[in-house]
Amino acid sequence: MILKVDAIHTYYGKSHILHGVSLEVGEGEVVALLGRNGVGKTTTLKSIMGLVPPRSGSIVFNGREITRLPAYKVPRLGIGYIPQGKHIFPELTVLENLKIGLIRGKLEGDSLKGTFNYFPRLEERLDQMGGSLSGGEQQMLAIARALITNPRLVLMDEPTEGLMPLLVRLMKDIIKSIKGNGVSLLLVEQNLGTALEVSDKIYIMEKGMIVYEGKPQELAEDEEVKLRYLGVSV
Amino acid sequence: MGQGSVGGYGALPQRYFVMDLLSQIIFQAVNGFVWGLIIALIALGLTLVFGLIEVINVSHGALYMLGAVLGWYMERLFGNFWLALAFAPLMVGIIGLGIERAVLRPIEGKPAMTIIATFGLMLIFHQSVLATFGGAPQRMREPIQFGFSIMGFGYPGYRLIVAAFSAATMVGLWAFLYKTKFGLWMRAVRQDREMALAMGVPLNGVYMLTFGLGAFLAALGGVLAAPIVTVEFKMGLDILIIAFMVVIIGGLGSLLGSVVAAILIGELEGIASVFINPTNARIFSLVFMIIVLLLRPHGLFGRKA
Repeated sequence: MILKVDAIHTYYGKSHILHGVSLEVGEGEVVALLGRNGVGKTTTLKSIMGLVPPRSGSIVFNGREITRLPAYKVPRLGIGYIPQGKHIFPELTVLENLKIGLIRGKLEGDSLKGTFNYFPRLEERLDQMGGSLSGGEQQMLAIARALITNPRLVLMDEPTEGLMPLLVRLMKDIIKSIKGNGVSLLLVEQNLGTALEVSDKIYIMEKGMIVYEGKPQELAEDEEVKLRYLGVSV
Repeated sequence: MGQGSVGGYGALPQRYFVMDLLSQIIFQAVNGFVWGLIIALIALGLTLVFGLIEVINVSHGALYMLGAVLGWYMERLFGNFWLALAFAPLMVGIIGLGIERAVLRPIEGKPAMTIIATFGLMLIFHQSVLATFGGAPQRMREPIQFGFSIMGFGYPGYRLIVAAFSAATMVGLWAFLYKTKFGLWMRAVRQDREMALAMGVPLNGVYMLTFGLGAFLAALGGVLAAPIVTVEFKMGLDILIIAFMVVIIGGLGSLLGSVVAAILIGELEGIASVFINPTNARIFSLVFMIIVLLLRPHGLFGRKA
């Protein structure tokens, strides 16, 4: 077990967002977290990262309790975070965007090369400002930035949102190749198709709670669950 | 400055008596540039702190004053101005670290509260200096006594060294921001603090060091200015107003904007003081600020929020 979230309650000020969310990500697994807008998927990821610390419950990463850890220490333990939208630093160069996560030491040639095998376009644009990249390139940069630290677990928040079909295809390949390297993934998705295709396990959230857990094949056949929680009728 | 300056910033000793109008204008142009660089140092501290921590630091002028006062004491103690220049800003910088930790961190994210808190700090610094240093203005000797003549007017060599030192400090600040890991963190925090945190940037440490750096720059300006102006507990009030004007004219949070605006203001008030009373020369700066804000509401180098 690489990540175990146990009954966390998270608040934004006075509003109670997560009502006892529990989930598990196994070693090398891709786990998808589905649900409509505003049910608490992003808050779950931010709770794990320590950006919005839960008031109660526990989060254990790689056998270590991280619930009360200062947020900046969480990524240093080996959790990469790829937020929703293009949260790259617009006025840092591509290279600086990549460097920022490397707390110790310099950018090693190997990890850079490995990254550019995925994202050759970034290598040509190292000195450009992040904000001058196209939307797709910014998304690639956000992923490269998270992977360059060699994380054990990657949290991805709606990576295919707003991408054109060709890039959605590429994104699925990237997810599979991350998994192929033995890295675990917790993936927040709105797109059922993507989740069914890439994940080993699926959770569905509703009103700050986990309401469904199952294998992709099971969910694919469960029309009632899909209709009730995802508003998908096939 | 308001302490009886002979034209613009900083009273000149009698031996630098200025001759004709053209010489006066050239003199004030040079002097305005030197002052612009000192003001730029101080304004850079203010804009760094505002841009990063979103603290409107009303005590910035008091930190400048504290630098000058500590520098004055140290110059007495060591008998050496350069040692004072090395240590007084460091001490004020360390005080700045403490201020961030003890006063500002508990009210993080509440800009209105930071104004009240730093106003309180300013009063504390004023009264502490008044109680120890006293209320009488003191002068500090110029560490180098040579002067030289340009176009028939004499100019104190120390001021040119101040200009060079200020410029070198700005280059150093640039190198710190663009060539070091910590500088990279500071720029990242400015652009997206949550994402910086999620990338492992220690936000609290960055805030603390940024405020310390701001205090250091203010105090450095204070020590450099001490031999040119007079040292007294309320010397930071006027500087605070100019520094805020410079930051607003340059564009909030823009470092380059602050430097350019500081030099423009220094020149404007310097040259204006050839023709009118130096205290009234401030009017030109205010008019200039109004014109800039009418034409470019976000300042010369500012961007829309």
